[in-house]
Amino acid sequence: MTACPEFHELANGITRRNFVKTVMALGGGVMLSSVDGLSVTSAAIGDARSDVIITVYMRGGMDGLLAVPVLGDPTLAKLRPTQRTRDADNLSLDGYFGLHPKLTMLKELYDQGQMAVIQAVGTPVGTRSHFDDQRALEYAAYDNPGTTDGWQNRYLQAMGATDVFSGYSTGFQTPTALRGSVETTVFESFNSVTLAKAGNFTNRDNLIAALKNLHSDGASNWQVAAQHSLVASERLRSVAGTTPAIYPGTTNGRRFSALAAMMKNGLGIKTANLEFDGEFDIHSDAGVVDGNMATNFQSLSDCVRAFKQDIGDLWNNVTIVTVTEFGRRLEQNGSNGFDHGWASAMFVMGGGVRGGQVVTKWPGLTDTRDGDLKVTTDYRTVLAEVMKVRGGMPADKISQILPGFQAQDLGIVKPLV
Amino acid sequence: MQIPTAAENSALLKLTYGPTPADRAAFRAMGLAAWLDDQLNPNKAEDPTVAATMAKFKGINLSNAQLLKTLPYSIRPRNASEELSETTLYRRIYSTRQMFETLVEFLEDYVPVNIKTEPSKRISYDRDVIRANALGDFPTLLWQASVHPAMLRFLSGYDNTRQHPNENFGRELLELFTVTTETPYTQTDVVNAARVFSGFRWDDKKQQLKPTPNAHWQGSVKVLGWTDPNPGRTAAQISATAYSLVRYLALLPETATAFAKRMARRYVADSPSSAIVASMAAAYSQSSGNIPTVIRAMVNHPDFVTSLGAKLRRPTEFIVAALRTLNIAPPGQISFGDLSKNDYFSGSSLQKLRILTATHGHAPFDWQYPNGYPDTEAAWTTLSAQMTRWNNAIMWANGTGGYQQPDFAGLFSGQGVSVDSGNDWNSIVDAGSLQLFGRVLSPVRRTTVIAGAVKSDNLVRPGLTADQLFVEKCRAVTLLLLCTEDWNRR
Repeated sequence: MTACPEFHELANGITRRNFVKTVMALGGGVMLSSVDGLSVTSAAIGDARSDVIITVYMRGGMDGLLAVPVLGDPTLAKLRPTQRTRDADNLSLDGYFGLHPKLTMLKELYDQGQMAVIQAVGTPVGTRSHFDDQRALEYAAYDNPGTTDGWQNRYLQAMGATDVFSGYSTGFQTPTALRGSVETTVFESFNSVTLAKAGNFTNRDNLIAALKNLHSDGASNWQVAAQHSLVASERLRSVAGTTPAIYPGTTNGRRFSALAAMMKNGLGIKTANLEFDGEFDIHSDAGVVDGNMATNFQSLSDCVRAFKQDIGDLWNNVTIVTVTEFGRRLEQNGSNGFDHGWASAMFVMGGGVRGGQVVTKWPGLTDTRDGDLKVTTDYRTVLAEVMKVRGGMPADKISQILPGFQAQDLGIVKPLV
Repeated sequence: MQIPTAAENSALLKLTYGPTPADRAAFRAMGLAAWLDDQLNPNKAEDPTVAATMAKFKGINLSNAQLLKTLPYSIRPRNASEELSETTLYRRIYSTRQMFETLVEFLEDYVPVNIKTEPSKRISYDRDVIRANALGDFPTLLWQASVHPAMLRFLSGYDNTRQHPNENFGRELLELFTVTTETPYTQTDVVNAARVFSGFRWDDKKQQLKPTPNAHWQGSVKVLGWTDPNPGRTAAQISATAYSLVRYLALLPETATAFAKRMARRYVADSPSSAIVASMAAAYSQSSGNIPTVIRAMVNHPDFVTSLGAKLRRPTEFIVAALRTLNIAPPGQISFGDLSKNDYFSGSSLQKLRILTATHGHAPFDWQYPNGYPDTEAAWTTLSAQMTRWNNAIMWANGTGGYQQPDFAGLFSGQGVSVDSGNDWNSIVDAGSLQLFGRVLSPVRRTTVIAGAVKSDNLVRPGLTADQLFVEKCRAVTLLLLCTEDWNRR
């Protein structure tokens, strides 16, 4: 495939950006260049200590500058005369970048050293197409365009995972990132995972045996999946399906609580994807103060707060990474919204995160690509480091999971202990 | 019993929501060509009962203007979208224009507007754009969709102005509705497409499109190989330029291929062969995008028959096919609306059916994004999908959840098996398979079904008469057949 100039620039790690030194906690600013020598102790594959790596998928294109605004920037104020939050309301992270006022839990985690921000991050090419960029994000295989497996499934393949709960996603459809040869578990609610009282098969075991036999020839994905579904269903019967009251009574609350319940029951999830229920495709009426975007961020904050409380000590072995297909145009459009853009921001949260830092090769708001914030950090950099350091994945396996990608650690997570 | 040909099964399983005995009889009497002609005839009369039932609904028969001022839609617009969704399900089950109904679903996924978008106008979008053109030409359908108020709302058309062209619609026009990203268009093409569509307003009082020169980006525009001076000084000029662009894009060979591929993905296989796509694309180009012509090319291609079983039924097709094949109705009575209730259709059998489709994540027209519900097996093969399908099979076979008992004796006697004739297990499984799939199962799978069915607890209930025992055998077999992969494919 031919890549655009920006891609080469990224791939080669060349940068002429004015670095913003925003990291206070570690002294002297942990930027890409300063962590080259960071030694990373990788745990063995399948290490019991390895983290559950969770993506929170904000489909629709999350604006990274509404999430992580530049404070006191006159350019931003000019580009977004009405569609931004006031600096007085933003939650300052380091004096240069802040958080949207609704992201209070993320601010707390940042202050506790458990949340890091990567700003000006995204896919290396960037087409401004939801569907192409989502596929690219989830395949994460730019040098292997024929792939049909998603990166999360390749992660499971690389660790030799075979258990049906090693990969999990909420929703009614299997996300591309999770598709592949390792069977995974996808369901929307606990109501839909157990076999009903079977009427003429009062003895459920007889029905289950029949279903197993009917799907035993392995000739299709449906057959193979059915075997796994029956096993998964039985194991899920022991998982409490009730939602603790601490969660918001929303789709997102239900999804986070389902994941927590499965983790607390020791089902052995290695990676999970939470489809975030929100409206991020804000072409019109972004709702930065009390509309769509405010609701999105409130929901994220509330859900992470409840989830952390719910899972207790398991938090020490969780890394949550937010992903989105692109950010949005720097300048607001004529309808109080934002069209599709390129770079966005990512949040990395968890007990093993080297938090309290905003990691960026900040491109600034004036040197744009056709009005978009430039991607200066490839999102795969974040995934690679999390998989390697917190997932215990050796470097050679990383290159199988992310073909053609040379990982360079950002220093956003701590070694497993 | 008569074993259907592969041609019959291909046509009836792919082009209907599951064939009934009446569909099979009609097909056999007419033959494929005449049956297809009949299904593609835009003047084909609807079944009188269906037509009469549809006439009893209020909202789907009102204009935009009437909907805006008519209770209960004026105060609770959701009633309009629910009515559209529920009547759509009714039509899928009962319409004798089955091919047409499958086509409506295909086109609604192709040029989608989420059903919760401007519910009062969404009814008109379905009726006046999709249904009115489903047996016509795609370029015409696409033009009408592009300037319909429901689409103008869904893809930010109202917000697209001269000063700030909103790219939402312009981008999807290229990416999803015409050439797709298989064609290397540029950001400039997107911006120019957005400029062409800037300034389209809608006049709710007059119920007409209002292209507005002072909100329209004026000046020369170029999109791919198309250029236009785009003076945009009058409403007529704005419309003419936009129409010209849509026609140009819709008639490009790249669009023909994209349309063909997408239609073949719906009806033939997740990854259709390049041969059938090329054949359908040629038909599209030669007919200037005539939809029935493309369908004929698809049905007449050898892949159409050889691909039988290649597609996984999506959830709502799975549901509708079960009701049609088992000849059971949605649970309870249809409500045509109760003004005393805020939830206008509360308790209606069709509302219950819509909620069932939502538990599968597949309620009609309720996909959030402009690319339509996914149409591949990989997307829909999940734990909850499989469990929910099996649970539904249990519900229908046992007549629970408000559903009536299937008339097993009637269904099986239609396939030549009754309590008085041969009713050994093999005969019952073969009859059930023919009823459900139009073919008998492989001997191995038939044995598996029997081995499972004999374990049904109902078979050993004391005091069963011979008739009751026969029904229970049919019930056990039907339940398991509905749980097979065969039932989930077409």
